[in-house]
Amino acid sequence: MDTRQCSVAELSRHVGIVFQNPDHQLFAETVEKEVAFALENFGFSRELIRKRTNWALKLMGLTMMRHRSPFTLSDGEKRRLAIACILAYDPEIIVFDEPTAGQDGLQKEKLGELIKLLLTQNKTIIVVTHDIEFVSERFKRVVVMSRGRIIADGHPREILTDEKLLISANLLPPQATQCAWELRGFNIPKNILYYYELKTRIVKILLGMMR
Amino acid sequence: MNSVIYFRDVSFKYSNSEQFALKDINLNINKGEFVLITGPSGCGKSTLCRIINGLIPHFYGGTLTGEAIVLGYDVSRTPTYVLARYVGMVFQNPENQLFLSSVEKELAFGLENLSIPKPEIEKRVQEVAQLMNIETLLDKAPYELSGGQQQKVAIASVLVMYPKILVLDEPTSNLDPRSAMEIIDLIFRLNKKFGITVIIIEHRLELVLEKTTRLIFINKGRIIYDGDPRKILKKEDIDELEFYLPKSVKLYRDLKRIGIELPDVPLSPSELATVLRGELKRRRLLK
Amino acid sequence: MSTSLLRGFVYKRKSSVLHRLDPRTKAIILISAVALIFTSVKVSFLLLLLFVSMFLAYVGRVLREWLHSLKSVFLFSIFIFVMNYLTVYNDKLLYSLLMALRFILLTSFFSIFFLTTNPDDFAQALLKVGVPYEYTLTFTMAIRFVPTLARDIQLIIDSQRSRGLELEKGNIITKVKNYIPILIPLMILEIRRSIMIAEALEARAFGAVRKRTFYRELHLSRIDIIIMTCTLVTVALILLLKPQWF
Repeated sequence: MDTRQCSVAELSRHVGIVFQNPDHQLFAETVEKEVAFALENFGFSRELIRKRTNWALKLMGLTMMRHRSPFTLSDGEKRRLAIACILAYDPEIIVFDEPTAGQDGLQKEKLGELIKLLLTQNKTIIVVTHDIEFVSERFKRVVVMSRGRIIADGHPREILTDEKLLISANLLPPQATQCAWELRGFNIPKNILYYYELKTRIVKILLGMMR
Repeated sequence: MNSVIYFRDVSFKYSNSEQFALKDINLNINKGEFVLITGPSGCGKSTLCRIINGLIPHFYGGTLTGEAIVLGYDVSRTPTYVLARYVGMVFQNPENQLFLSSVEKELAFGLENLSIPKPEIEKRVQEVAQLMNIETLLDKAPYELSGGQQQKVAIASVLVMYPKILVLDEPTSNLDPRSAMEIIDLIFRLNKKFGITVIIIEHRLELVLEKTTRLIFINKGRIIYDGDPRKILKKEDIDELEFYLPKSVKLYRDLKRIGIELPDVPLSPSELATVLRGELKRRRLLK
Repeated sequence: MSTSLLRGFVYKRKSSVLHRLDPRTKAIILISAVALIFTSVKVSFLLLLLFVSMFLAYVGRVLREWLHSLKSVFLFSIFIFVMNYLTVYNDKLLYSLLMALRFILLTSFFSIFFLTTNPDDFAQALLKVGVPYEYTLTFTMAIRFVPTLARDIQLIIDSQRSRGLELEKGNIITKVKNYIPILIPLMILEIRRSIMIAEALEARAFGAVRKRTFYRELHLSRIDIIIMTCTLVTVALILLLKPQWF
């Protein structure tokens, strides 16, 4: 589809965006109605709305709260609700805008699991974020933007271990890479990306199997 | 006698809630400490911070029980504006803390409220602007600044009051990683140079841990861990902390599990390098 | 139209003679202009005033923004012209033309005033004429948060539209109903924001002492006094003598 020639409503049927702050969208009387909103707008049948709402609420662990007002939920629950609202109409592409900002460790981990699950269902997932740590272990492709331009596009291994590139985009390398860079003289490659790579190397060094 | 914050059996319940936001908190914080408070969202960290400057119970209603003493003031009997002078509070979203139309006015605002004479205000505004490296921004409007600059201004606007304690509630969660690091470094310098007691809430331990002299982990309104991070992170059973640990700490713990015990917990990549170098030297000497 | 109209009124920090004038001086010029606009009955004189305001916009270096505000009210002034033309019996053309011109002139002078007056200075001027600080601070903050509010509205509209909300769909009643998903989050968001701002105010010792210091105070300069006097004298003379060209 040519995005210039479709209406937002048409496009959003296929592309779901989970915005950073759930407070920018929650308005309905109940959690259930909040999820059904998009489905109604897209003209789904009543039966399908019921089914898909139930499915999305269950997936995001909100079934128990379906009759509560969205405004009484905790921050974490609100975020999950915002995701449920999008998943309910099953778009092919799902965009997450800064999903980890202000999230605690456990919430991030759960979000990571959800994204993994969505990927197994053949969804295209786009995550817009500063959170390199969240990206490095979970994604196969990274696009770096700076001042409205794409300045790099590729596997995290090439991109997130490229010091110059990271500086120009105001980013920091992943922690595993930072550790590798600090360990000068240990014969550890500079493009270490994953934690397990770092661990394996260091275990070998300490057990005297390298150097 | 260096205690600046003393809590004994402090509990707090918001007036519209049945559950305790904080329960039986006992805490003694000394002058000059760099305290990191962390825990799952909604665990009561923010509530704790708001007691320190009196926003609780004066701004937010509820029942505060126990004894909360800050710099000798009984919090439940001291209005926020008295504590504001000694406890500088910086919030998560810089945008909502800057409500005037120029940086200079933001810096002067707190001092004006305290009725400080003009020449003194001028002196302090210049001094703090220089310290925070924002002299060139004085004429700018807050909305013209980047997020990192805004947060610097927010910090500067409480620093002018010469606070003894600086409380920061997730000050970097809206910033890009490099700006976040810059802000943390700056806070650390204030702690070192002026002995300001720092209490910072942060989810991303990797940003702050190296500088922390004291780690407090809160869950469901109670303090679960409180102490030197190097000691806490050496403990065996700290499952609640698992998803918060920086990679260098995780590495220490994973190595220990397979029988390799490093002498210290490295709190940052550079500490990891130092610890590993030491350990290798020791092993070679042993051979 | 609403946002472009705003652009013709929102203060832009620049350096010009007009920007440096005390807001009280500019207020005197504004009030004098309003008095002349409503008492003059000559199209030629009103056109002269329009020329004067253009000159002021030029001196204040806000010509482009000024033009913008005029452009965005142009249609409305034609509407005023037509309405008057249809409803008035005597001197139709002259009267309608006068009304339309007056409207354009009001827009023009007010736009120049706000374009060149820092809202803070304006608040300070209010303070000087006896308005309590709580009110002037509220005024300053209201202006300061306009861009933030605009951004919030845009974000809410974006997120609801991406959930399939079509604002323009349906008859009048549905159209009004369409705005519920925009208005509810907006209200809640702004209430929450106002609580956070109040917290920040408390944390900066707002209300600590009854007599606070005012770090930057307004001072009328010699130029201010000269301009104020000249304006007042000229306007008083015109209004008193009512010359033929007025």
